[in-house]
Amino acid sequence: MLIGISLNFMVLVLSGVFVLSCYGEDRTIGGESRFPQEKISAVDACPEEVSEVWGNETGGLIASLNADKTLFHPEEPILVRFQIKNISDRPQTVWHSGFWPNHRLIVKDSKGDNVPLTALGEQTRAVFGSDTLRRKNFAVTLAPGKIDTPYGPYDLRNYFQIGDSATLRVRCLYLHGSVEVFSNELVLNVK
Amino acid sequence: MRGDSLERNSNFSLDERVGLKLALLVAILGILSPPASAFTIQLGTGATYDKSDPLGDLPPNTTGTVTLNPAPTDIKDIYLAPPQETANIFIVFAADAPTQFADWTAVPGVALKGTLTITEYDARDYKAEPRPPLTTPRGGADMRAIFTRDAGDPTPDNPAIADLQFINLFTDNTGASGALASHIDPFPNDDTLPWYYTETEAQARQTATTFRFEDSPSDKVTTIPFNRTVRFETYLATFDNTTKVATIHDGWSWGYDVVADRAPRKEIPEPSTVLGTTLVLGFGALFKRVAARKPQKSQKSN
Repeated sequence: MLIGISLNFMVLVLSGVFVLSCYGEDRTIGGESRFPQEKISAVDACPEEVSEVWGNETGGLIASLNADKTLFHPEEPILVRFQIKNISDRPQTVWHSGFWPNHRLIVKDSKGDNVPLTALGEQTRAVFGSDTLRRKNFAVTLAPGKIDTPYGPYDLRNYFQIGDSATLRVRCLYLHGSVEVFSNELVLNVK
Repeated sequence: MRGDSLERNSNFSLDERVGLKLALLVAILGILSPPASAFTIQLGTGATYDKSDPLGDLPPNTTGTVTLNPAPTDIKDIYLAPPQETANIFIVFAADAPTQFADWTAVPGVALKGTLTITEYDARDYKAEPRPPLTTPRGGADMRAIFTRDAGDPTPDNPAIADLQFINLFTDNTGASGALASHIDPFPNDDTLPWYYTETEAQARQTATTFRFEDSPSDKVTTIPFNRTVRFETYLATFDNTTKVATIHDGWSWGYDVVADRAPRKEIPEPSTVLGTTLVLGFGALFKRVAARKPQKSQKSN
């Protein structure tokens, strides 16, 4: 009787030891958090080319898409330029990732349908998003009131199948993590 | 011994043999060390050179790391001499040019002087260091460096900072079935030039004597197991915007590996095995105790 009880007890204890040894490890991965100091970069400001039209503010940033004119002839390049401005009272970081991974040009026709992409447009669209890999990628700190204009102009005809006659509603989205900063809507005519 | 007999049988005189040995030594040293005109690579004061980080935000029972590669003990060893015409960068340049920077061609250049100071070469886990705020689990590297022109510039071998650009070749295993793929960074291009920086970006990173390079590439862990290799060859280049000719000088190599896999599991014995083992141990102890008592009894009876 005594032997039976002691055997059962030993089985329970040893089983517990086995289970703990198999599952009781610390599974925490990642080590201690390290939040390095902000790495300040030079400001890519271009004050002489300030846009007058901006999109809505998001997280202290506003974005603009502008063109030199609104009427284009068929086959004429349709050049647009993107700008982003810090309207908060503290420095803001924007990321330069080669434009396409964190910027999306959105071109709709007069019916509100997306204008089809060219092959190059498909290539640039494929790298957009927070899930994608990054190769060129560095931070730029914008002081309050400063504007960042490092890219472009881009010819919309390289990226979108634009016909000889069209009304285009064009915007640009800047993606910063889960934050989306939309530019103003630019209305362009081709005829 | 063997060397002695060879020397004795040689047709060369002693002076010639000494001369040949010296020439051989010079040749070996020449191979091992960069050319005299090459730029120098050094770690900056207080530079971060962190070779590996564990990855955070991985699924349960999974481990992963991001590790710098190359990560030599002596940072000078990441130096790259000016590439020859057959080097990978010229092949990739020619392949990318038609769609990314039309009409540009590239030719080999001479080694530059000056100093490249690495201020940060750091393996980065994006759970621990979430800048920029990209989705995780993700690993990458930070490379920050400053090229300083040699004194006495400009010379044909060491042009003015304004006439320099960085060109960045990357090679990763993101091709079909993990095949290696190489492109000139950025790809797709963000302008019509073959450089890492746009002209505006470059101007913002130059002083009269220095030119700053910074990059924080990264890859998201998308499957388990995951094995990503990313290598960069970053060169300094001079250029002619009229003829659209890029001249590639010396540079440096850097990169990282992101690896994630299931954690090795310990074998869990079946309950019957546990019970059996316990019974054997228990009976063993019991019999030992019984056996130990028997001599005592026999001693008492005596």
